[in-house]
Amino acid sequence: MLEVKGLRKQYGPLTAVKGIQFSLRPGDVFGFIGSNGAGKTTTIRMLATLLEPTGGTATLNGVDILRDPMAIRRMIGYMPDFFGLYDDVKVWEYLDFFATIYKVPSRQRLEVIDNVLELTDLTVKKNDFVQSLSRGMQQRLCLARCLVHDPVLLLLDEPASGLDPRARAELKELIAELGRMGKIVIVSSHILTELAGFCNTVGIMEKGDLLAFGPVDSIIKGMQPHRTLVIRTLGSVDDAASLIRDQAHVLDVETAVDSIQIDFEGDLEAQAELLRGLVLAGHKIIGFREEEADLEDVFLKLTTGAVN
Amino acid sequence: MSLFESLFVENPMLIEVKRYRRRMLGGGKGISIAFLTLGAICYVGLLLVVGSANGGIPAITIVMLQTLVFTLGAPAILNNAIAGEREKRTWDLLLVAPVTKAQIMIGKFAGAMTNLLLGAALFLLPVFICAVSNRDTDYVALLWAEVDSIAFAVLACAFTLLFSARCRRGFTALGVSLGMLLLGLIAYPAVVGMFGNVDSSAADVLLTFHPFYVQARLMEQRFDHNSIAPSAEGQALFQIVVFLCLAIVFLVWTERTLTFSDNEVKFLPKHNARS
Repeated sequence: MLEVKGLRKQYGPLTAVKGIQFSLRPGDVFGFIGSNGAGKTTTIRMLATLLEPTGGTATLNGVDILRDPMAIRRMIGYMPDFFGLYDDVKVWEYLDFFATIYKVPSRQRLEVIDNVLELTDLTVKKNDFVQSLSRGMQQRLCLARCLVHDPVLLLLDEPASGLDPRARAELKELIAELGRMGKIVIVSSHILTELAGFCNTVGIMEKGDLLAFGPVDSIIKGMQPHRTLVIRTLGSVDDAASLIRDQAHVLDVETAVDSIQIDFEGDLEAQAELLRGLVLAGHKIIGFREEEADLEDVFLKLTTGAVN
Repeated sequence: MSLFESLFVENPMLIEVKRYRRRMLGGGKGISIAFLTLGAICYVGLLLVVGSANGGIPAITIVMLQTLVFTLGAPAILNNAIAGEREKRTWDLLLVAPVTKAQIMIGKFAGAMTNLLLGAALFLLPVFICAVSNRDTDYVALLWAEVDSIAFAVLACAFTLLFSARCRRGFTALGVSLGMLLLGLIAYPAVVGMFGNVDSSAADVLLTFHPFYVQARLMEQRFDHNSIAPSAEGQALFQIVVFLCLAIVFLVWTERTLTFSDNEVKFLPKHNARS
């Protein structure tokens, strides 16, 4: 379990991270969302023991990052926002080098390398030089490197930047698989569509503050206390709108050429009742749906676009 | 685990020895193979020359040649040791691994030293040919010269590693370390010579730290009882001790300077730095 308690980083007068706190359990895939300069990378680098926090701390399975950074390093896999590859070695040699550094027993090393290569779908490239791999493959190799010592926590900083759509999709599937394997995965990104698919928890950061944290659904729900209904009709939009305004639970009504948008505070029963009333009044309803907000809406609503 | 064990026995970064050896043996790169081929040609040429000299070449001359190779080789091998990691941006990956800065440094140093010792082993054959074919060979002096040469290699490696840790680019580290080594070896005796009437005994003192000078003294076995200078062997011993002490100072300095970079800032609180 990862517990971040009041983590803060100060660079002179600038506070890059302002005492954030959250906790994650095994299997959580946490999407760290924020604009460039929001403080995501600084937070990740503090968790990776690369930066010393100015205040607060974090514990991973009870081990404090400040008190025992060496033990933390054995438990984390860190993938920075750049590849960091030795280009003069073969794929298996690169992994063997890091497996040695992480003290993977020599008897198990070959098996571990084979396993991570299989997981990252790089088995056929085992004997190729790193420099000959495509960008997507190099990114997967970086992830394979993070996995050689079977870490508890994976810190992935902008893992999909610069990848083509196919490589991005493969990487998303791989990260989701790591979550299913029971690892805690922290993925930072400013591309929201990247995270929406596979993160079960998100945190939205701006100017060093964690503005929202929790499961994706509950954050969206929290940001949207009322339902937004969109109704399309073949008849007069204005007549339908005036009828809707008189109904219970309707807070606001906006009309367009062929549709009506309703700010609605009722439950599903009330929605059904509203639809029934319209049909019974003779309106030709051809569309009735609830508009769901997504991460992007929540992000835009919460943040102002300001950076440190 | 003791400091010795953590640095020299249980140090996972000693895998660098394997990496450096592989790089030395070509590493699949055309330019490395070209250098290796050139080296092999030079080596065969050296063997032919010493073989045909019939004892005309003192063995210590070959040791001096070896020292020159070390002077050029150490910066060439180690300039990228840390600066190169920064350039490739692999440095952070080492910093987040469960290894200390000292272990990283010793791994790099041991990797380069292994290569230079391999070079010293190759030089043993021509040294041996010269020694057995020359009746006047003083084997004790030869041994002193050999140890002195290796001690200088240790110093040159530590010196280059320091610059590799302090420079952002490997090429800069190569230029600075090679330049300073050559400046010391060439300019130092030149400056001593500029003082005019420096007699040989005064030069013996002034050039105490010059490896070629001491090796030349060992070769000549010049010993003047009226001289203020120590014997060539004594001077060699002194030089070896000084070189090794300086190497330790440079290595400690390197370890202390390893956080120098925009990227890593300082990554461990002081009370944990020794862990």
